[in-house]
Amino acid sequence: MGESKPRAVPWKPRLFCVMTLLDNFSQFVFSGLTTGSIYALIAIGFGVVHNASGIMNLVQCEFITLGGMITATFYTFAGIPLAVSIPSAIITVTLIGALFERSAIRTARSQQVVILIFITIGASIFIKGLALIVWGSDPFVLPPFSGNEPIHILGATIVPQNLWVFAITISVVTALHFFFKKSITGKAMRAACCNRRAAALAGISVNRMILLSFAMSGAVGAVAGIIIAPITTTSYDVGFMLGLKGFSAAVLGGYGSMPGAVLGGLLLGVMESLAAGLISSAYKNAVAFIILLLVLFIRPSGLLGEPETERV
Amino acid sequence: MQPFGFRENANTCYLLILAFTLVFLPLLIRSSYYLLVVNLIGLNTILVVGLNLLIGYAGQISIGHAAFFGMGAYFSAILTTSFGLSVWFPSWFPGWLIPWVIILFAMLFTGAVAYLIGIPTLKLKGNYLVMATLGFNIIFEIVLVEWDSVTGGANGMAGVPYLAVGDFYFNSDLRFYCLVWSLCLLTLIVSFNLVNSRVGRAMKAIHDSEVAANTMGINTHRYKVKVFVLSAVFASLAGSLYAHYITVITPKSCDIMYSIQVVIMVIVGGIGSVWGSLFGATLLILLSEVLHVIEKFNVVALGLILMLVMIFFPEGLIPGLLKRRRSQVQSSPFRSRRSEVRSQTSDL
Amino acid sequence: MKRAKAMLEVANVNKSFGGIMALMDVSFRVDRGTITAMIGPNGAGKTTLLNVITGIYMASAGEILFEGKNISGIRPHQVSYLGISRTFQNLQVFQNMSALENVMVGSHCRTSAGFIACLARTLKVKREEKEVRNRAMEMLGFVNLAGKQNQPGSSLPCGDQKRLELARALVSHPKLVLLDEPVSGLNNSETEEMGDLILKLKESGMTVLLVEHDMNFVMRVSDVIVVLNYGEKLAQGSPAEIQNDDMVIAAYLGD
Repeated sequence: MGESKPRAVPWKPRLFCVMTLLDNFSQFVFSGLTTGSIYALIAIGFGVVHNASGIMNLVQCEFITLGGMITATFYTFAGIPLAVSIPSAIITVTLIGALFERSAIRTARSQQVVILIFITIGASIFIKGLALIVWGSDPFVLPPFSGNEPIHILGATIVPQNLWVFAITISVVTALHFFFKKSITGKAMRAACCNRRAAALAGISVNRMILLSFAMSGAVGAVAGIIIAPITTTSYDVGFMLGLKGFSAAVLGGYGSMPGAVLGGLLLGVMESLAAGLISSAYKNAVAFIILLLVLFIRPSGLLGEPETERV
Repeated sequence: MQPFGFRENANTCYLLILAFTLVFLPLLIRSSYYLLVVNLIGLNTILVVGLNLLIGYAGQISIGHAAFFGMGAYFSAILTTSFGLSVWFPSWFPGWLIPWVIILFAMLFTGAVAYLIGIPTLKLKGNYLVMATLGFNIIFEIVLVEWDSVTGGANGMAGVPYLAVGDFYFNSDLRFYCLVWSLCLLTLIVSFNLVNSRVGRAMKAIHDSEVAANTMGINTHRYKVKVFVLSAVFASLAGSLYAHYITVITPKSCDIMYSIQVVIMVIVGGIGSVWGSLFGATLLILLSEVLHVIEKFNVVALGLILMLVMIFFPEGLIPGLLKRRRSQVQSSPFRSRRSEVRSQTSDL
Repeated sequence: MKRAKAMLEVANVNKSFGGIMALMDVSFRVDRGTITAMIGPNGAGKTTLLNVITGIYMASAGEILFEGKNISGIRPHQVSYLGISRTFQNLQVFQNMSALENVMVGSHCRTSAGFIACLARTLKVKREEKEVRNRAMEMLGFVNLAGKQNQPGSSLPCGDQKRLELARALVSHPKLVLLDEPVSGLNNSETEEMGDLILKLKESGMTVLLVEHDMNFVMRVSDVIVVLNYGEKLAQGSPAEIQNDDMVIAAYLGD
């Protein structure tokens, strides 16, 4: 997904191979970090909703698709410049996220987690189906944000878009970090996650926090979908795999933990890219899910999550 | 849940009515296309009944059952086409029996895989269980596509032989109808047996209150794993039959969408109702046949159905509608579980 | 063979939840054929102790001896096989099952039909099923629920659910029954009915350990009372002794 140049280098122990291997290695790491940043953003999207409501929101996958596709539509068909179409796409997806929460999640008769997951699965399939009807199955292309001149770093060749991905991911993560640590609303969201009843008693509208979390995850998902689109192209089903891998990243790092999401995302991206490059690219897509199962089996709380303590 | 007063005798009676209807149904259906649809309903019912035991009785949700279906289908397809298996059997062993033996082995194999996966997976709580089974299904799909020397890759496998008893081949829709519906009836019967037994009660108990079930001496984890294995075995049987009926099998017939589709069948028909599985499979297969012309809309419709049913009828569509008609206020199986969890946490 | 006089012995049991001591060095004995009541203010650790005995929690230290055998660290689902059964403070009736089925689940540890046998509904399964059903009906009769066997657990009033839980606990012929607040939420006549039932159990030779707040009820049924306060055993004695114990009075009325 993230490799700017697909290189199928079968790994065989040859003498002159060491140099190539090193170059390849850094190439794999860079492209892994790029997709890893996307996974991290998606994992954060999952985490934000989970922390506010305890829901696993699989519509997150569709936020990614919608972000990329709506931008592409604005840009390609309406001829709106990127600088305008990107923010408007993000706003649209944010609104869709909020709308989904208001219409589906809040009206649900049963607030049981498993039922809510199925509602999000249903919505996800529904949106994906609509996307297929509206946009068809052909991939859409977004131009890179600035230039296409390759840059050589540490033996790897990357395009400026990779740098955009890093920069935007870092800014989103920093912004969210300060939002949750410093702002009143962010603190209120964290409080609502810790203890709903106490938060409600302290005057926090838990429903509004959940609404906000869906809107935020919509925005973050859309950003992820937009910044990766110039590298991989975008299509009606791009969010399915990306979203589920982002989910795996979230589980790997510790579901609901923000540093965990970043760590899990980057780690997953690099592992996937290395596995594809050094072992076999055929099973590249399976790596994330094998890791997901292993983590769930061995340590469901993930790398940075706190293990569930005995209930008192 | 099994409605009360819906006792064993009533079930026997309904089973007889069903069997009777099934005998006369082919007389009414002349077109082989409609017969195909009816056969697909039968095949899906076998899978859905098993899944419903898992979801409705043991309270565990899986969206990976298409993988078990695919395991059965591919096991049968690979062993009956690619390998000259007859060498392995003694010469007196009738050739027509071999595919049947393979079906049994497929069920054993799938059961064993389900057992190995089930042990760690079923320790997880609801939402993680959903994602773990989903992940398993995706891995299975990828293996099917990538391991093309054995599985035929994305094109799948063709030329799976028809099943036969002696010289009688199940090679027409009508003949397969007899086979699949007999097996489907058998599945329904054993499921009713299970539900109305010590094991069935233990499963329902786990669903209602895991703590209390444990105290009664029920090893909850072991029961969950056993039901998981049983449902996987049913899925495997359905898969093998499918492969021998359609004679072509592709990764698409056991992808994640199919997993979700069978869960929708359970949900529509009624969570925890054996008969509901039959209704759910019937409704969904008919729907997807109606929408077959425009496949794009099938996906949209599935998503919409799943979403709306879960929003408005969390206990399942048919039970929900029935309840609404009776306008009886009764808690849904899921809701009661939730309130139970809540009361537990407030207590301990 | 000499049978130990103590049915259950709780020896120096400690239980802490992340630094909070819920039970501190609790020891007492429940003698065969007696009714022992645990009392104490809310949060004194009574239910925690029942959960430790039934294996839901692991004791941080100390031992639980049942008929002289150390059973600490046992898994919750193994407890019933030994002959210990219990009821719950907050009702844990199986809501979606009929009253009869609820009681039949209680026989789980006394029956053996396996998974495959149940699928095939073998003759053995049928026979066992019949026995279990009869025994369950008998038990429903014992707790005065005859005629309500087909009602779903969720539709029964609180008092009936309490007695249903009792029937479910008794159907497996336990040696020791643990009752967690058997009369909380019951009105006077229901409380009296429950008291009669529990005294009948004692007559039939069963040993009972119960937790209850209702003092009149406790004084009426129990032979021995154990008082817990903040996880510690405060006193132990006959109802008359406890009624006149200064420490107990202080704990209940405040210093």
